[in-house]
Amino acid sequence: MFLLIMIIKFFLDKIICMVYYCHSVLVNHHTNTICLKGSDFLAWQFTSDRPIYIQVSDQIVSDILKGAYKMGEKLPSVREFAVIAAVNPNTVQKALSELESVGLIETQRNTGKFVTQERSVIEMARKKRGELLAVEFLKSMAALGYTCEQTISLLEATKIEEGKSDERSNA
Amino acid sequence: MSEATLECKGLSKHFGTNAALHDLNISLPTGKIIGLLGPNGSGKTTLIKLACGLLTPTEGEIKVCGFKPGIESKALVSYLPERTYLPEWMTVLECVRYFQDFYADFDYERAVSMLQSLQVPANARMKTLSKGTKEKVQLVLVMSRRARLYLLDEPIGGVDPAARDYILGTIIGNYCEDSTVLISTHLIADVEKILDEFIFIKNGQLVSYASTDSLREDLGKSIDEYFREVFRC
Repeated sequence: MFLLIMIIKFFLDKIICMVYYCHSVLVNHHTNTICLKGSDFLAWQFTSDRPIYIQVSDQIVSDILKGAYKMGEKLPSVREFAVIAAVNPNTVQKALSELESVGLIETQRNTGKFVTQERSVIEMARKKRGELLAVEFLKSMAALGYTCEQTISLLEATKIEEGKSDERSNA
Repeated sequence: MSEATLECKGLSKHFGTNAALHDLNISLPTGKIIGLLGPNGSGKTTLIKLACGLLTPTEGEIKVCGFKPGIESKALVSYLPERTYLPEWMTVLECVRYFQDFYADFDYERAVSMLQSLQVPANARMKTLSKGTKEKVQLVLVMSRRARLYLLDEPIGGVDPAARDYILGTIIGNYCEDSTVLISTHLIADVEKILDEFIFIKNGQLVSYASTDSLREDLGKSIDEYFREVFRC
Protein backbone atom coordinates (compact mmCIF):
# COMPACT_ATOMS: atom_id res chain seq x y z
CA MET A 1 0.00 0.00 0.00
CA PHE A 2 2.72 2.39 1.04
CA LEU A 3 4.69 1.48 -2.03
CA LEU A 4 1.70 2.18 -4.22
CA ILE A 5 1.27 5.63 -2.71
CA MET A 6 4.93 6.30 -3.25
CA ILE A 7 4.68 5.30 -6.91
CA ILE A 8 1.60 7.46 -7.45
CA LYS A 9 3.31 10.35 -5.71
CA PHE A 10 6.32 9.90 -7.95
CA PHE A 11 4.23 10.11 -11.11
CA LEU A 12 2.22 13.03 -9.80
CA ASP A 13 5.46 14.79 -9.11
CA LYS A 14 6.55 14.16 -12.68
CA ILE A 15 3.32 15.56 -14.05
CA ILE A 16 3.50 18.67 -11.92
CA CYS A 17 7.06 19.09 -12.99
CA MET A 18 6.07 18.89 -16.66
CA VAL A 19 3.20 21.31 -16.24
CA TYR A 20 5.43 23.78 -14.50
CA TYR A 21 7.98 23.42 -17.24
CA CYS A 22 5.46 24.00 -20.01
CA HIS A 23 4.02 26.93 -18.12
CA SER A 24 7.33 28.64 -17.70
CA VAL A 25 8.18 28.01 -21.32
CA LEU A 26 5.00 29.78 -22.31
CA VAL A 27 5.63 32.60 -19.88
CA ASN A 28 9.14 32.98 -21.16
CA HIS A 29 7.85 33.18 -24.66
CA HIS A 30 6.07 36.38 -23.72
CA THR A 31 8.54 38.02 -21.41
CA ASN A 32 11.22 39.85 -23.25
CA THR A 33 14.34 37.92 -22.34
CA ILE A 34 17.40 38.82 -24.28
CA CYS A 35 17.67 36.20 -26.90
CA LEU A 36 20.52 35.49 -29.21
CA LYS A 37 20.62 34.69 -32.84
CA GLY A 38 23.59 32.96 -34.34
CA SER A 39 24.07 35.50 -37.12
CA ASP A 40 24.44 38.37 -34.69
CA PHE A 41 27.61 36.88 -33.35
CA LEU A 42 29.38 36.65 -36.64
CA ALA A 43 28.58 40.18 -37.67
CA TRP A 44 31.00 41.92 -35.33
CA GLN A 45 34.61 41.03 -35.80
CA PHE A 46 37.36 42.70 -33.86
CA THR A 47 41.01 43.14 -34.61
CA SER A 48 43.51 42.60 -31.86
CA ASP A 49 45.50 45.82 -32.15
CA ARG A 50 42.92 48.38 -31.02
CA PRO A 51 40.77 48.67 -27.91
CA ILE A 52 37.46 46.92 -28.40
CA TYR A 53 35.40 49.91 -27.28
CA ILE A 54 36.85 51.97 -30.15
CA GLN A 55 35.99 49.21 -32.59
CA VAL A 56 32.48 49.02 -31.18
CA SER A 57 32.00 52.78 -31.50
CA ASP A 58 33.40 52.67 -35.06
CA GLN A 59 30.90 49.99 -35.92
CA ILE A 60 28.03 52.01 -34.50
CA VAL A 61 29.19 55.09 -36.43
CA SER A 62 29.27 53.01 -39.61
CA ASP A 63 25.73 51.85 -38.92
CA ILE A 64 24.61 55.44 -38.43
CA LEU A 65 26.36 56.60 -41.63
CA LYS A 66 24.86 53.69 -43.54
CA GLY A 67 21.47 54.69 -42.24
CA ALA A 68 20.90 51.47 -40.34
CA TYR A 69 20.13 53.75 -37.40
CA LYS A 70 18.41 56.84 -38.77
CA MET A 71 18.54 60.38 -37.47
CA GLY A 72 16.62 60.72 -34.27
CA GLU A 73 16.09 56.97 -34.01
CA LYS A 74 16.30 55.22 -30.67
CA LEU A 75 19.35 53.03 -30.28
CA PRO A 76 19.35 49.61 -28.61
CA SER A 77 20.14 49.67 -24.90
CA VAL A 78 23.63 49.04 -23.62
CA ARG A 79 22.75 45.48 -22.76
CA GLU A 80 21.13 44.83 -26.12
CA PHE A 81 24.20 46.17 -27.88
CA ALA A 82 26.38 44.02 -25.65
CA VAL A 83 24.47 40.93 -26.67
CA ILE A 84 24.38 41.89 -30.36
CA ALA A 85 28.10 42.56 -30.47
CA ALA A 86 28.92 39.82 -27.95
CA VAL A 87 31.05 42.18 -25.90
CA ASN A 88 31.08 43.31 -22.31
CA PRO A 89 28.34 45.84 -21.40
CA ASN A 90 30.96 48.10 -19.84
CA THR A 91 32.74 48.18 -23.20
CA VAL A 92 29.52 49.22 -24.91
CA GLN A 93 28.96 51.89 -22.27
CA LYS A 94 32.40 53.27 -22.96
CA ALA A 95 31.83 53.23 -26.72
CA LEU A 96 28.50 55.02 -26.38
CA SER A 97 29.88 57.74 -24.12
CA GLU A 98 32.61 58.27 -26.71
CA LEU A 99 29.93 58.85 -29.35
CA GLU A 100 27.99 61.02 -26.99
CA SER A 101 30.99 63.25 -26.43
CA VAL A 102 31.23 63.98 -30.15
CA GLY A 103 27.50 64.61 -30.30
CA LEU A 104 26.56 61.75 -32.58
CA ILE A 105 24.16 60.33 -30.04
CA GLU A 106 22.11 61.92 -27.30
CA THR A 107 20.73 60.58 -24.09
CA GLN A 108 17.18 61.45 -23.29
CA ARG A 109 16.43 61.01 -19.67
CA ASN A 110 14.61 57.78 -18.84
CA THR A 111 14.00 56.87 -22.44
CA GLY A 112 17.42 55.86 -23.71
CA LYS A 113 19.91 56.89 -26.31
CA PHE A 114 19.03 58.37 -29.68
CA VAL A 115 20.91 59.20 -32.88
CA THR A 116 21.39 62.95 -33.17
CA GLN A 117 18.93 65.03 -35.19
CA GLU A 118 21.69 67.33 -36.42
CA ARG A 119 22.56 66.50 -39.99
CA SER A 120 25.77 68.53 -39.74
CA VAL A 121 27.17 66.32 -37.00
CA ILE A 122 26.56 63.21 -39.05
CA GLU A 123 28.05 64.80 -42.15
CA MET A 124 31.08 65.79 -40.12
CA ALA A 125 31.49 62.20 -38.96
CA ARG A 126 31.16 61.01 -42.54
CA LYS A 127 33.81 63.48 -43.70
CA LYS A 128 36.16 62.47 -40.92
CA ARG A 129 35.72 58.79 -41.67
CA GLY A 130 36.23 59.44 -45.40
CA GLU A 131 39.41 61.39 -44.79
CA LEU A 132 40.79 58.67 -42.60
CA LEU A 133 40.08 56.03 -45.23
CA ALA A 134 41.62 58.20 -47.97
CA VAL A 135 44.83 58.69 -46.01
CA GLU A 136 45.00 54.98 -45.26
CA PHE A 137 44.40 54.12 -48.90
CA LEU A 138 47.08 56.52 -50.12
CA LYS A 139 49.50 55.03 -47.63
CA SER A 140 48.90 51.51 -48.83
CA MET A 141 49.21 52.65 -52.45
CA ALA A 142 52.48 54.38 -51.60
CA ALA A 143 53.66 51.11 -50.09
CA LEU A 144 53.00 49.52 -53.50
CA GLY A 145 55.16 52.21 -55.14
CA TYR A 146 52.40 54.40 -56.51
CA THR A 147 52.80 58.17 -56.44
CA CYS A 148 49.84 60.29 -55.49
CA GLU A 149 49.23 61.27 -59.14
CA GLN A 150 49.45 57.68 -60.34
CA THR A 151 46.96 56.66 -57.70
CA ILE A 152 44.56 59.38 -58.75
CA SER A 153 44.79 58.47 -62.43
CA LEU A 154 44.34 54.83 -61.50
CA LEU A 155 41.24 55.77 -59.55
CA GLU A 156 39.87 57.69 -62.50
CA ALA A 157 40.60 54.81 -64.86
CA THR A 158 38.88 52.46 -62.45
CA LYS A 159 35.88 54.73 -62.30
CA ILE A 160 35.65 54.86 -66.08
CA GLU A 161 35.87 51.11 -66.33
CA GLU A 162 33.18 50.79 -63.75
CA GLY A 163 31.01 53.17 -65.77
CA LYS A 164 31.62 51.03 -68.85
CA SER A 165 30.67 47.87 -67.09
CA ASP A 166 27.53 49.60 -65.88
CA GLU A 167 26.64 50.48 -69.45
CA ARG A 168 27.27 46.92 -70.47
CA SER A 169 25.04 45.57 -67.77
CA ASN A 170 22.36 48.07 -68.71
CA ALA A 171 22.50 47.12 -72.38
CA MET B 1 33.76 52.03 2.03
CA SER B 2 33.77 50.42 -1.35
CA GLU B 3 34.17 46.79 -0.65
CA ALA B 4 36.01 44.49 -2.99
CA THR B 5 34.01 41.52 -4.20
CA LEU B 6 37.00 39.25 -3.83
CA GLU B 7 40.04 40.16 -1.82
CA CYS B 8 43.20 38.16 -1.23
CA LYS B 9 45.89 39.24 1.20
CA GLY B 10 49.16 37.38 1.27
CA LEU B 11 47.26 34.31 0.18
CA SER B 12 49.29 31.10 0.03
CA LYS B 13 48.31 27.51 -0.42
CA HIS B 14 50.82 24.71 -0.14
CA PHE B 15 50.24 21.09 -0.96
CA GLY B 16 53.07 19.45 0.95
CA THR B 17 56.21 21.14 -0.31
CA ASN B 18 54.51 22.27 -3.47
CA ALA B 19 53.27 25.87 -3.40
CA ALA B 20 50.17 26.14 -5.55
CA LEU B 21 49.70 29.77 -4.60
CA HIS B 22 52.32 31.98 -3.06
CA ASP B 23 51.71 35.35 -1.42
CA LEU B 24 48.94 36.46 -3.73
CA ASN B 25 47.55 39.94 -3.19
CA ILE B 26 44.64 40.96 -5.32
CA SER B 27 41.40 42.84 -4.99
CA LEU B 28 38.64 42.42 -7.52
CA PRO B 29 36.07 45.20 -7.94
CA THR B 30 32.32 44.83 -8.33
CA GLY B 31 30.58 44.81 -11.67
CA LYS B 32 33.36 43.45 -13.84
CA ILE B 33 33.94 40.37 -15.92
CA ILE B 34 37.44 39.24 -15.17
CA GLY B 35 39.53 36.55 -16.83
CA LEU B 36 41.73 34.37 -14.67
CA LEU B 37 44.41 33.23 -17.05
CA GLY B 38 47.58 31.25 -16.73
CA PRO B 39 49.32 28.15 -18.00
CA ASN B 40 48.45 24.69 -16.72
CA GLY B 41 49.23 24.23 -13.07
CA SER B 42 49.54 27.94 -12.38
CA GLY B 43 47.06 27.90 -9.50
CA LYS B 44 43.87 29.08 -11.17
CA THR B 45 41.68 26.33 -9.85
CA THR B 46 43.32 26.53 -6.42
CA LEU B 47 42.45 30.22 -6.20
CA ILE B 48 38.86 29.55 -7.19
CA LYS B 49 38.55 26.68 -4.71
CA LEU B 50 39.93 28.87 -1.96
CA ALA B 51 37.39 31.55 -2.81
CA CYS B 52 34.49 29.17 -2.44
CA GLY B 53 35.80 27.54 0.69
CA LEU B 54 36.64 24.14 -0.73
CA LEU B 55 40.23 24.63 0.36
CA THR B 56 41.60 26.51 3.33
CA PRO B 57 44.57 28.82 2.90
CA THR B 58 47.94 27.81 4.32
CA GLU B 59 48.69 31.45 4.97
CA GLY B 60 47.02 34.78 4.40
CA GLU B 61 43.34 35.40 3.95
CA ILE B 62 40.68 35.55 1.32
CA LYS B 63 37.38 37.40 1.60
CA VAL B 64 34.26 37.48 -0.51
CA CYS B 65 32.28 40.71 -0.08
CA GLY B 66 33.97 41.10 3.29
CA PHE B 67 33.16 37.57 4.47
CA LYS B 68 35.62 34.78 5.04
CA PRO B 69 34.60 31.65 3.14
CA GLY B 70 31.70 30.20 5.10
CA ILE B 71 27.94 30.21 5.22
CA GLU B 72 27.59 33.92 4.40
CA SER B 73 30.04 33.84 1.52
CA LYS B 74 28.61 30.66 0.03
CA ALA B 75 25.21 32.31 -0.30
CA LEU B 76 26.85 34.98 -2.45
CA VAL B 77 29.08 32.81 -4.59
CA SER B 78 27.95 30.78 -7.56
CA TYR B 79 30.63 28.28 -8.43
CA LEU B 80 31.08 26.26 -11.58
CA PRO B 81 33.59 23.51 -10.86
CA GLU B 82 35.79 22.01 -13.53
CA ARG B 83 33.77 18.79 -13.47
CA THR B 84 30.11 18.18 -12.91
CA TYR B 85 28.84 16.87 -9.60
CA LEU B 86 25.17 16.43 -10.43
CA PRO B 87 23.83 12.96 -9.58
CA GLU B 88 23.67 10.73 -12.62
CA TRP B 89 20.21 9.41 -11.83
CA MET B 90 18.53 12.83 -11.76
CA THR B 91 16.80 14.27 -14.78
CA VAL B 92 17.76 17.73 -15.95
CA LEU B 93 14.58 19.20 -14.57
CA GLU B 94 15.07 17.50 -11.23
CA CYS B 95 18.50 19.12 -11.07
CA VAL B 96 16.90 22.49 -11.71
CA ARG B 97 14.44 21.93 -8.88
CA TYR B 98 17.23 20.69 -6.67
CA PHE B 99 19.05 23.97 -7.20
CA GLN B 100 15.86 25.89 -6.64
CA ASP B 101 15.45 24.22 -3.26
CA PHE B 102 19.05 24.87 -2.38
CA TYR B 103 19.55 28.51 -3.30
CA ALA B 104 17.30 31.40 -2.39
CA ASP B 105 18.62 33.47 -5.30
CA PHE B 106 17.84 30.82 -7.94
CA ASP B 107 15.71 31.94 -10.88
CA TYR B 108 13.74 28.93 -12.13
CA GLU B 109 12.27 30.64 -15.18
CA ARG B 110 15.62 31.81 -16.34
CA ALA B 111 17.09 28.33 -16.01
CA VAL B 112 14.29 26.74 -18.00
CA SER B 113 14.46 29.29 -20.79
CA MET B 114 18.23 28.88 -21.06
CA LEU B 115 17.93 25.09 -21.19
CA GLN B 116 15.40 25.51 -23.95
CA SER B 117 17.61 27.77 -26.02
CA LEU B 118 20.46 25.34 -25.63
CA GLN B 119 18.12 22.52 -26.65
CA VAL B 120 18.84 20.43 -23.60
CA PRO B 121 16.23 17.70 -23.18
CA ALA B 122 14.58 18.55 -19.87
CA ASN B 123 13.44 15.05 -19.01
CA ALA B 124 16.61 13.19 -19.90
CA ARG B 125 18.60 11.69 -17.07
CA MET B 126 22.03 13.14 -16.47
CA LYS B 127 23.73 9.82 -17.24
CA THR B 128 22.30 9.80 -20.75
CA LEU B 129 23.72 13.22 -21.60
CA SER B 130 26.99 13.81 -23.41
CA LYS B 131 29.88 15.50 -21.64
CA GLY B 132 29.24 18.82 -23.36
CA THR B 133 25.52 18.76 -22.59
CA LYS B 134 26.22 18.00 -18.94
CA GLU B 135 28.48 21.02 -18.86
CA LYS B 136 25.75 23.13 -20.39
CA VAL B 137 23.29 22.02 -17.72
CA GLN B 138 25.78 22.78 -14.99
CA LEU B 139 26.51 26.22 -16.40
CA VAL B 140 22.84 27.05 -16.77
CA LEU B 141 22.28 26.14 -13.12
CA VAL B 142 25.19 28.26 -11.99
CA MET B 143 24.25 31.28 -14.12
CA SER B 144 20.61 31.11 -13.04
CA ARG B 145 21.50 32.27 -9.58
CA ARG B 146 21.57 35.97 -8.76
CA ALA B 147 24.91 35.79 -7.03
CA ARG B 148 27.41 38.50 -6.20
CA LEU B 149 30.37 36.52 -7.42
CA TYR B 150 30.38 33.92 -10.16
CA LEU B 151 33.40 31.67 -10.20
CA LEU B 152 33.53 29.85 -13.49
CA ASP B 153 36.27 27.27 -13.80
CA GLU B 154 36.68 26.41 -17.49
CA PRO B 155 33.06 27.10 -18.41
CA ILE B 156 33.46 26.68 -22.16
CA GLY B 157 36.15 24.05 -22.42
CA GLY B 158 33.98 21.12 -23.40
CA VAL B 159 31.22 22.71 -25.45
CA ASP B 160 31.00 23.35 -29.18
CA PRO B 161 31.74 26.81 -30.63
CA ALA B 162 28.09 27.68 -31.22
CA ALA B 163 27.14 26.83 -27.65
CA ARG B 164 30.27 28.65 -26.51
CA ASP B 165 28.95 31.84 -28.09
CA TYR B 166 25.58 31.30 -26.51
CA ILE B 167 27.14 30.74 -23.11
CA LEU B 168 29.24 33.88 -23.37
CA GLY B 169 26.13 35.72 -24.50
CA THR B 170 24.34 34.33 -21.46
CA ILE B 171 27.07 35.63 -19.21
CA ILE B 172 26.87 39.09 -20.79
CA GLY B 173 23.10 39.17 -20.87
CA ASN B 174 22.58 38.02 -17.32
CA TYR B 175 25.26 39.48 -15.21
CA CYS B 176 24.36 42.69 -13.43
CA GLU B 177 26.30 45.69 -12.23
CA ASP B 178 26.60 44.51 -8.66
CA SER B 179 28.08 41.15 -9.46
CA THR B 180 31.51 40.09 -10.59
CA VAL B 181 32.30 37.20 -12.87
CA LEU B 182 35.65 35.47 -12.66
CA ILE B 183 36.30 33.15 -15.59
CA SER B 184 39.23 30.79 -15.71
CA THR B 185 39.98 29.45 -19.15
CA HIS B 186 42.55 28.61 -21.77
CA LEU B 187 40.34 29.76 -24.61
CA ILE B 188 41.43 33.36 -24.33
CA ALA B 189 40.56 34.42 -27.85
CA ASP B 190 36.98 33.33 -27.27
CA VAL B 191 36.42 35.15 -24.01
CA GLU B 192 38.60 38.16 -24.69
CA LYS B 193 35.94 40.50 -25.97
CA ILE B 194 33.73 40.04 -22.96
CA LEU B 195 36.46 40.65 -20.39
CA ASP B 196 36.87 43.96 -18.59
CA GLU B 197 40.04 42.93 -16.89
CA PHE B 198 42.36 40.01 -16.80
CA ILE B 199 44.64 38.38 -14.28
CA PHE B 200 47.74 36.46 -15.31
CA ILE B 201 49.11 34.04 -12.78
CA LYS B 202 52.09 31.78 -13.07
CA ASN B 203 53.46 29.35 -10.50
CA GLY B 204 50.99 30.67 -7.97
CA GLN B 205 52.11 34.25 -8.31
CA LEU B 206 50.52 37.26 -9.88
CA VAL B 207 52.14 38.22 -13.17
CA SER B 208 49.83 41.03 -14.18
CA TYR B 209 46.39 42.41 -13.50
CA ALA B 210 45.19 44.99 -15.98
CA SER B 211 42.23 46.11 -18.02
CA THR B 212 41.74 44.72 -21.49
CA ASP B 213 41.47 48.16 -23.05
CA SER B 214 44.61 49.49 -21.43
CA LEU B 215 46.57 46.51 -22.76
CA ARG B 216 45.37 47.25 -26.26
CA GLU B 217 45.93 50.98 -25.90
CA ASP B 218 49.40 50.68 -24.42
CA LEU B 219 50.80 47.69 -26.25
CA GLY B 220 48.45 47.33 -29.20
CA LYS B 221 48.05 43.67 -28.34
CA SER B 222 45.19 41.37 -27.60
CA ILE B 223 45.25 39.34 -24.40
CA ASP B 224 45.79 36.22 -26.48
CA GLU B 225 48.93 37.63 -28.09
CA TYR B 226 50.16 38.98 -24.78
CA PHE B 227 49.58 35.63 -23.10
CA ARG B 228 51.62 33.82 -25.75
CA GLU B 229 54.39 36.34 -25.26
CA VAL B 230 54.47 36.25 -21.46
CA PHE B 231 54.15 32.50 -21.12
CA ARG B 232 56.29 31.47 -24.09
CA CYS B 233 57.61 27.98 -23.48
